[in-house]
Amino acid sequence: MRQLLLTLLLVPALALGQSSSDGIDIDLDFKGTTSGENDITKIQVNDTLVFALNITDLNDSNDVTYIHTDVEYNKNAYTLLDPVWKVSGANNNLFFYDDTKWNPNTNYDLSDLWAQWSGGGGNYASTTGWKVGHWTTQYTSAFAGDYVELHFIAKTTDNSNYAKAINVTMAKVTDNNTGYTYPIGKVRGHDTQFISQVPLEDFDNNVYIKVETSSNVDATKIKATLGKGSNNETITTLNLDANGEANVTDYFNSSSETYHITFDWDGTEQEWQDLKDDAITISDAVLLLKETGDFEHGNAGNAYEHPIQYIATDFDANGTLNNQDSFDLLAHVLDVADVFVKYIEDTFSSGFALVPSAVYNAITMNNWTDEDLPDMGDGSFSLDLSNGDVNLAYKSALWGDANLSHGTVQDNATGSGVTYSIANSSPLTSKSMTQYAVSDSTVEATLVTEIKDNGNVHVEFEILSDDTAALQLKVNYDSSRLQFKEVIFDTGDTTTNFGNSDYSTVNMGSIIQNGGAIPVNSTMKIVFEPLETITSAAGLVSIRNTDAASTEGLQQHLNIQ
Amino acid sequence: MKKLTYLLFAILAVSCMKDEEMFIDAPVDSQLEILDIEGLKFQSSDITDGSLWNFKTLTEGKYTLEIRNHFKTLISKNKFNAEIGDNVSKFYTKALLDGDYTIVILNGQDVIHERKLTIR
Repeated sequence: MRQLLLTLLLVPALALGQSSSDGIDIDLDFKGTTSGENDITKIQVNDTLVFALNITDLNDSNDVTYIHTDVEYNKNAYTLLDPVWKVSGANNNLFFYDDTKWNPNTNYDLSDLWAQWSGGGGNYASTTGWKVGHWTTQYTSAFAGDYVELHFIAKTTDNSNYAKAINVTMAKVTDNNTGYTYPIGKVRGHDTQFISQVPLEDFDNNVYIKVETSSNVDATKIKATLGKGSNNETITTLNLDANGEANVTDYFNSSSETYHITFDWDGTEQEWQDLKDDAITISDAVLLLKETGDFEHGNAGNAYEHPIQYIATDFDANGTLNNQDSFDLLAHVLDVADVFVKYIEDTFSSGFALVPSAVYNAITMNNWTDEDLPDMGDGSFSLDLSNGDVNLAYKSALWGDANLSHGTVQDNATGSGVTYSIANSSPLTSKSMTQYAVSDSTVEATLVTEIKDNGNVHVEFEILSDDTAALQLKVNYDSSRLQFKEVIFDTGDTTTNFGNSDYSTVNMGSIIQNGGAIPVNSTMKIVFEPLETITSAAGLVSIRNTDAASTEGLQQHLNIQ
Repeated sequence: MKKLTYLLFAILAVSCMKDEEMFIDAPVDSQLEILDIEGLKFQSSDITDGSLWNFKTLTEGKYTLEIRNHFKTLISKNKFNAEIGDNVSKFYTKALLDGDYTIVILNGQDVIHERKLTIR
């Protein structure tokens, strides 16, 4: 059985290859570059490639004591260095035919190296740009394995020079001790007879995708599809790391190629929904209300400082922010309407903008409307590999995320070594969102879960601070054991309250749109009915996220005790 | 008729009782057994949905169980009544994300037990 298996395994190998089977195989064996690269597909211009002429002796009756092999190479592709002879003590000889190339003998296989020369029909002819070397080793004892190393320096990326640019044309092998010359058919070029690999550009640095995302976004859920050429042929798809980065040197390595990157969501649909829910909250609504003059007492236009915020919240894309936009966002937070469904598509590619930093930073107060946005063409770009590492820098913003809690601010940082077509470029002064959208103030509050009358589970929230105009809590609950019943508010007469539940999350909150403070000791109480006998409330509910805005419209941190 | 009256009184009495947590009334499993006179014990360091936990006390009264996430942020706070001795009940996890948590038991403002646990 074992022999049968071995036979079955060997048959395809023998059939596929062109081994001499019981003679001599001569392999043009790539040994790597002198700088240590062993993958021939990654060789670069100016690398020194090392090839061995390797002998495998498959003949039991005779040995190898003499061999000469002709190897032609394209001088426009490679520069040949001095050989390294490998058989210790042997007599070695090398000579060349310059501007010469072999015309194969069509009566025999190209791999039948002795037939190519001795069988007649082929000849060397004058050909500018090619050169033939004739490497001979002779020794008194048998030898096999590598008998000489050929060192070539790659000269260019011009692929017209690399068709069989290093090619074993003929060989003769003799056992001088028995006077035996290996006959036609028994000296074969195998496994590798020629090399056509086109080197990459001389580039010893790296190409990175660097997507700047908010720390609130899990960048590992974002995948990048790399493409090239005018038809955007897909090269590969990969995920960003936790820092939003990926090393793409293996895929983006030519300065003459055009490339594309397409980003998409690689998380679950629920994770995409969670991202939106966490990003678009009451402080976003308050900020936009303030920008449009619908919070406090007017004074419109003083809330936003980054043009990207206008794009993110101009839901109807009419080039201006108005009451409709602010009420749309408030309705979204209150779960009355959905700005994704209403205005765009509820997908990552539609709602999460990943834009080259150079373009992102070039968006100004004057050009942010649809018609005047900086032109990034079809998103294709080329690389300059002559100047160190290349960083493909991107920034991000989410539809509806007014305070950019899940996006990135605009600044002067741009990608290096990347050429985009940008129609307008006037970077903004860097400014952190925390300078205007977020205050350091904290809202003190309590939240307690308790089994009460009739076994109902009550979750009671109480606000202890006096400078909060809006707040929101999302509370997860075990919907297999609890059924949402209601939210009971005690928040004063001028407060707009909202409280509802989807499958397993209660979204509740309050807002005083005139900028007044929600009264101290105001309470919101969620009431759940148990669906089964509950022995304790431990773990039945948990706070998913919270958000608040001060009476001045600044985001506040909710500190629940 | 007399039996029916007793039954009705019994039902009325039960229905008018103060509603409290119903601790599991069974011999304490060895995994939950607390040899000290007071303590807190979970079935294992990994809590799964419906895992049992035991809070043993010498003082009857109202206590607080806090669940704090990896960043020590309070995400759930539960008040419960405890009787003298073992108080075994279930711990539910479906409303919690998988991860490392700190469970804290307080009597009033005083922390009396603290455990780091993984919830799956």
